Amino acid sequence: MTANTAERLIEDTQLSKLDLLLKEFNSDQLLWLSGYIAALGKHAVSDAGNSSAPKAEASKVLVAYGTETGNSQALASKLAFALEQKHIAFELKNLSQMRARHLSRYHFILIICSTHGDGDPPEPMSNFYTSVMAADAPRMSGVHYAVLALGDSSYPKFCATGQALDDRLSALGAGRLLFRQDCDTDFSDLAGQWISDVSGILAAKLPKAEASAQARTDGKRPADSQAAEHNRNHPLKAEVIENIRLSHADRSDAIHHIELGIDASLPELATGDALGILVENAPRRARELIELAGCAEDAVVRVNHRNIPLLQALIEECDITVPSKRLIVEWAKHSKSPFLRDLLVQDPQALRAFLKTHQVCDIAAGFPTVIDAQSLVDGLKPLQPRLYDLANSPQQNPEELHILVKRYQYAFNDRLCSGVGSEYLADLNAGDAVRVFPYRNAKFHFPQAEDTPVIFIAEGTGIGPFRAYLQDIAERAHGPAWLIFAERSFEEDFLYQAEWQQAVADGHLALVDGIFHDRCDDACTIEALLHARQAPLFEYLGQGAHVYLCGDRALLQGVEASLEALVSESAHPWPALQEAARIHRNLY
Amino acid sequence: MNSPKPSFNIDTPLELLHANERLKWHSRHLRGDIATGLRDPLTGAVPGEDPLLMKFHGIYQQDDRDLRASRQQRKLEPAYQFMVRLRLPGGTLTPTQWLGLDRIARNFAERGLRITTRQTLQLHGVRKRQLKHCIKALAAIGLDTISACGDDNRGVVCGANPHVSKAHAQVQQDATAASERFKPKTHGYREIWYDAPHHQANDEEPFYRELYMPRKFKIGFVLPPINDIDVYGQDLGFIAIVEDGRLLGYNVAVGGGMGKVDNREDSYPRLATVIGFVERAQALDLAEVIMSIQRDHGNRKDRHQARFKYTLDRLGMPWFMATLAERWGRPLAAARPFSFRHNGDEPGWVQGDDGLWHGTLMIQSGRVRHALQDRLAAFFQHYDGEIRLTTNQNLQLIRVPGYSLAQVKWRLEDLSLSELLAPDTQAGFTLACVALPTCGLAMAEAERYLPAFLARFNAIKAAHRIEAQPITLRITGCPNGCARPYLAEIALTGRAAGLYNLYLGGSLQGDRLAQLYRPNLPETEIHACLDQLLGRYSQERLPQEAFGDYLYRAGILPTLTTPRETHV
Repeated sequence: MTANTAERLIEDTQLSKLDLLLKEFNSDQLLWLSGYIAALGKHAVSDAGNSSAPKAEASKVLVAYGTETGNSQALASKLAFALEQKHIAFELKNLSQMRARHLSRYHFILIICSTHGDGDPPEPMSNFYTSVMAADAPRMSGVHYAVLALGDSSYPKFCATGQALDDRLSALGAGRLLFRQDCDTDFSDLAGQWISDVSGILAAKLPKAEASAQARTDGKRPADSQAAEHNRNHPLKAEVIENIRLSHADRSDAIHHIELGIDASLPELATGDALGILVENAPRRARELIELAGCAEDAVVRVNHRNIPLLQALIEECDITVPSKRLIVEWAKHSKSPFLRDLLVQDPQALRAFLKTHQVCDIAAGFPTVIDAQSLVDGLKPLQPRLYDLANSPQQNPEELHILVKRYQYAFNDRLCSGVGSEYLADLNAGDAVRVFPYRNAKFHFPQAEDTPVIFIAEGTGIGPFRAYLQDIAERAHGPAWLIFAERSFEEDFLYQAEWQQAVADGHLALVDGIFHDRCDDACTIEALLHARQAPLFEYLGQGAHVYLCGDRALLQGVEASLEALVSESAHPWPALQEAARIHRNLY
Repeated sequence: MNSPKPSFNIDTPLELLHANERLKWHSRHLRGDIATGLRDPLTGAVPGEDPLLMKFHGIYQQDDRDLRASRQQRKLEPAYQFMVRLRLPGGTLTPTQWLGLDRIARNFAERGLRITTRQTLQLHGVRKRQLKHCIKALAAIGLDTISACGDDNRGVVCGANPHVSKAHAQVQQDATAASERFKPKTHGYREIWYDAPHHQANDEEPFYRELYMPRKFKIGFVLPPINDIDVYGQDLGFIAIVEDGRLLGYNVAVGGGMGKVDNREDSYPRLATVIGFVERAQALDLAEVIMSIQRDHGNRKDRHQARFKYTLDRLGMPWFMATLAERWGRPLAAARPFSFRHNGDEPGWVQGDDGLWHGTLMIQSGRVRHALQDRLAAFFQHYDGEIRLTTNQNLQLIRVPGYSLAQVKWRLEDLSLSELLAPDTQAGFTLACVALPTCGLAMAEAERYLPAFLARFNAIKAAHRIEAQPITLRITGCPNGCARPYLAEIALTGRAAGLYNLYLGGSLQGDRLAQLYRPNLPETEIHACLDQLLGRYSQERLPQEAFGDYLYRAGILPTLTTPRETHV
């Protein structure tokens, strides 16, 4: 071993430490040590040649994300970038590809994951989640981890998935690198801080590694992947072909059928998937807020790495309905309101209650002040994309994307408010541009087998995916299809009635049961109908039917409970069906 | 058949006949799959061809044409609904039945009750799932709907003549008997609507057999001198011959009919021909013989040529008279003299020869809805007379005892109904068919247009100081003639939205056809045209001269020789 070799292999600091250490050994000890080190070195070489073992100390870092809309994935890319800057080797994985047993390979596990809806894990990572939560999940002593949890505080089970993972990993014996960070929809600052913290801690704990990029196993670099596919950060521009109000003109929660045209194709979309839509606030509401805040419409603000006029920011980028704590901070600062100041220092319960009972405009109107445009924008949460199930088959007509939208209105304090997403969509006109991205929902895909029967139970707009399925099976051999549909009025709200009639005439749709609340002389609930239709129900289940539940959560959970009771004594008990992945839910 | 050319009558092989004939043949006496279709939950319609069969049951499948386009856009089927027409021979009802109908209309129908030009009531907008309940509810008040439409004997009409009310009661009896005798006897009606057990035997229709009539067949009874039912527009008309208040029998008229299609020259309205006299006791036997001739010889290939009038013109009156004599077994007696004064409804109270009182409430276009429906329902809660509907779409209070007349008048006054007893003269002489939005045949508005048109028409009459002169005025949405336009002094028949053919020259007595005066006139030109003609009429008319008669005397219309020429 020459000094030249040593200089190339071992750094100066290591050499000096080694020199200091070796000075303590006598000659006998040094002789023994030479053999020991040689053996160590051989072992290390053989290890390095074995591809199934961790390649090196540096590769035992895992960055894993569980994502529904792409936020966690984007943050994982940021974390990856931060680790690369610090020359820390790591593997970047989507949790959809992992199980609990894989975790013990790593020394350090950094998880970024969101919570879907009210407390559910993102669909793609559900198998991982189940395996970690399982009673037989492997112990993980010696593993260190950190969790960044994303969520939406407008749901009661805010960041529930991240919290559950954090608790579970700890219970399995893993140690926390740092405390979990929970982020609301305005996550960028807190997440950025967490990324900086966790990469700093790791850098301190780990020796620097060589070029780490090759250790990434995710297959694609973030920049590449974003260029190749469309996601919330890189939406696709679609054009409205037609916007048809399907329900009666008198109905306030009107149901619209909207057809969007796209130039590109979205090959990743399948029947059962959804479309993410970057909705916009009504310009009228954005202007009202600008007026209340005393800003100028054309003031330039920086938001989401872009410099754009305030009006555009409030229309496209910011949630101008639901306030966050950050807005109270900004507003307290500018208005110097003692009430708001107190609110921030009192118990969090009071703040939460205040945020629940006030919208952004209430705060702007209730605590008049002049605020600069950037502070206003900084105080607002980012406007979240909305997901709508595809109501047509992307296979049969890839240039068109159809969705069903129900206008949502709600009473807030003393006024009637319109849901931002549904108002934006229902008011679209032919020719308008809409930003969309594909959203995969593999759990809700349909059986491809040629003989599998399908029972589709839909409430309201939940009927959309079934329309897509019927378009598919019209072109191929298929098992019998049974539609059970609940809406208000037979005459006005039998969504796509003419198409079902055609499908029945063509032999693609075997059974149709409509439950309409305006004709309650017959079975007037889905539960009562299923009770009366046990013969076909058991016949379908006996033939291996998959059951789909789509639409209003509360209603269909009740339906599921009664179905479960109905089949409990049969050859097809609900848990068995569930085990066989024959129950598919898409509830909202 | 010896004839070299197939005549397409009942002896022709089925496959050569019109599709409707095959439908009837295979319908198992009007059953078809109606019962199954009623249960189909996917549609508000009765699928397939069964709606054609349902017409024999008095039920028309319709859809709201105002909504067709928007519903198609909304990916919905048309707004299907059903019109239910009652079989109401002579148009008579008890107050209890009226109150029952009022309730049924509120429960099952839209737009109240409608008095038709054939003296019955229609319910509109009944939905499929309510249909059976509705028919059962009608049965509960002693009413049914069988043969209110279809290729059979349509509802039998019976004229009114309050002055000879004893004879009228007898004529009414004959009309009711005719309706009972010639209604389809199929058990299918009871099976489908009343859930009666299935009838096995194939002996259901001794007269109609499998194919029923080639086309609708209308029978009417009339009491001169009032020709309210337009007896010359009936396939078979019975003109009562009354002597000293005693009904002797009837003059018989055959082959009247209104319907025509504008694009066929071989299609025309025809006045019935009076062919003789029959004793009252034999009248219905004779009717059956006449109907059997049409049943056996009517054109079953071309439905536009299937009415009795075309059979008579195709085979000739001499042939018909010979065939009738052969089947009747003896020649018909000569017709007795009679005369008509007018074909409207007279306003006011009249005391009949039975001492009972009769009054007519004028109902515009026969529409009984909203406040009028409420007031009539209130009125009939305490009323001890009877009710009779007229073919001029009005409502008569008949057989009111003298001792309660004062109270009836007082109650009419109290309910703001008395104004309907003495409206402007024109009301008793005006008709409009239903047309848009529910009639599938309509090409223009009729009933919905009438109020505006009538106001204008009355204004023109008033301007020329002839408001006291009744003029028969009829508006239909198409050329088919439901409101008997071709017998009116002035008639508009729809051609397209806002465009009408103007017919002139019928007689006030209903015994002369109107002729096409100007085709395809828009509203303003109709007004201008009528203003000019009525202006001349007011200046030049003779005392008591009716408008239609004046048009001929003044040479405004050319004199006609045969009915066909009205459309040349």
